Amino acid sequence: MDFKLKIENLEKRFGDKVILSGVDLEVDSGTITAIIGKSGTGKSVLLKLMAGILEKENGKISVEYGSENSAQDQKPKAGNLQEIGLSYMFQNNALFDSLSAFDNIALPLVESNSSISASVINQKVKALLKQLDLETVGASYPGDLSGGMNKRIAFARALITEPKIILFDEPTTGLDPERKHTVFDMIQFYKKQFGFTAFLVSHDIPEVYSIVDSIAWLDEGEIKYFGTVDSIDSISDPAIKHYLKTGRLSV
Amino acid sequence: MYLFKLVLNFLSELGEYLIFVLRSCISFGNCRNRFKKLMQSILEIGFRCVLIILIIGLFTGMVMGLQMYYTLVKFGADTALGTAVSLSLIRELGPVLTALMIVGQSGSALTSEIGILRNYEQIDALETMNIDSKGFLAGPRIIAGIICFPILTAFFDLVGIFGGYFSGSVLMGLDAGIYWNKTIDSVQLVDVNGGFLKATIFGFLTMGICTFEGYNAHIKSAFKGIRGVTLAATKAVVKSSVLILIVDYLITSFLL
Ligand SMILES: Nc1ncnc2c1ncn2[C@@H]1O[C@H](COP(=O)(O)OP(=O)(O)OP(=O)(O)O)[C@@H](O)[C@H]1O
Ligand SMILES: [Mg+2]
Repeated sequence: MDFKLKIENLEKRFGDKVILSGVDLEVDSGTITAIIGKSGTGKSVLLKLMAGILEKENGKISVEYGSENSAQDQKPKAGNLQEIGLSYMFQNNALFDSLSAFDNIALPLVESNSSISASVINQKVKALLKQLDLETVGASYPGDLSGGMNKRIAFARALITEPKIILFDEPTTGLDPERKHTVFDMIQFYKKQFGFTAFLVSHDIPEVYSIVDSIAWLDEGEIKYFGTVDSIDSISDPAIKHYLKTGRLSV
Repeated sequence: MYLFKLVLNFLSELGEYLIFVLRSCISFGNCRNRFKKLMQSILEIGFRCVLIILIIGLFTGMVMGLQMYYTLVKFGADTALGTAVSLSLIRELGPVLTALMIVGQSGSALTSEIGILRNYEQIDALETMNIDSKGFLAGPRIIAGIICFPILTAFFDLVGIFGGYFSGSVLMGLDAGIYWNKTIDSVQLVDVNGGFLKATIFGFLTMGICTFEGYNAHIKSAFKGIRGVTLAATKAVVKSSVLILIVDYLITSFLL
């Protein structure tokens, strides 16, 4: 079902420190949006607000369905993306070291209240392991695996619930260039397969542009630029244009 | 004014703690695989402590046997050794020392574990997966505490009474029949129940504190990261230990 994800005037403070001073963003379902910006500007905070892990001070996060399928009762509550199905891939993976790769991936289904039978879970996890080239490591523990493998396990855990929205927090940081592209390809491939809406925080400019539909530049607590990759060319300010094209501030 | 603030802080923390513990237990009721989680927690909290409880229990009983024998024999009352050892163990020392030992061994580990999960955003991860983190992490541990503390206390009492026999009869020569008869005669069901009541309450309160401190390691401590976790573990052990002694006093004065 098509929807629009709307973020309006989102504000977040920690004590006196203002992190987000009014973020506005509107994306269509089925798109990938890159969120870029300097370290410490609040990209992770923005994702955590969307996931409901942090409490917002002000503003609104909501999902609006098109008028053609206005099934009122299917509308989730404003600000709660959880209800339509959301996964979060953490910057540090946040896998459980006491669980095997298999159990980590199965966890969201095993613990969910929609009693799915063990054999179905087993099948789903096995299929994902196979697709993500993780078949041989199902029984291993995250502590014994490489960073790249753990990223894929975290990715599998995010996919297993077939969410409508996935938030990726720096899925490629710390990977070699080869793996970086593998992860980007994976995201693109599974987006085609499952049709989720994705937000992707990344410092990999311009590599990340190859898979995204639009770019949101977060700076000083606001979205300073939002648009497609191509429309960067039509920005008048040369410094901003340079930054968005290369990820570097100085010319 | 300062005192007023202190009291206010204490009360608000107490309230948070109580809500946390109750919410954890209630959410655990809605968790999947409850039996498995509970068994695992019992293994972690209780089983891990069996050996140390047996050793401490034995030596506590032996020391008591010696000390009390020398004291009682001065008044010609050495035949009362069984009564003295068994009652003080079952009523007081058993539940209190067992609780202190479990907190020291399992409680600190529990706080650190949950604190580290918090540190690495795994608790947040649970929430994004729609898994109730309190019910998932804290609930089974608190309930395991309620189950394990009385059982381990029983172990402690039994080997302690045997330790008293070893000191009093085997070493000091008190007639074994007198020791055991006195023990069996003087211990009433109310004593045993009182001891178990204490153990159960200790289990509930201390495991609640240990999970609470770990779960909030990032908020309650002045530091984040590893120092936050180690501080939380220290705080959990100190608070639990003090609470055990205070609550012990309260329950004793209530029961007597
Ligand atoms: N729980 C918190 N409590 C207090 N301050 C926080 C908290 N989480 C984040 N911050 C602050 O918010 C700011 C933004 O942090 P955030 O992690 O969102 O940055 P980021 O844009 O994701 O950076 P990076 O690219 O390095 O990951 C930082 O200054 C950080 O110190
Ligand atoms: Mg970040």
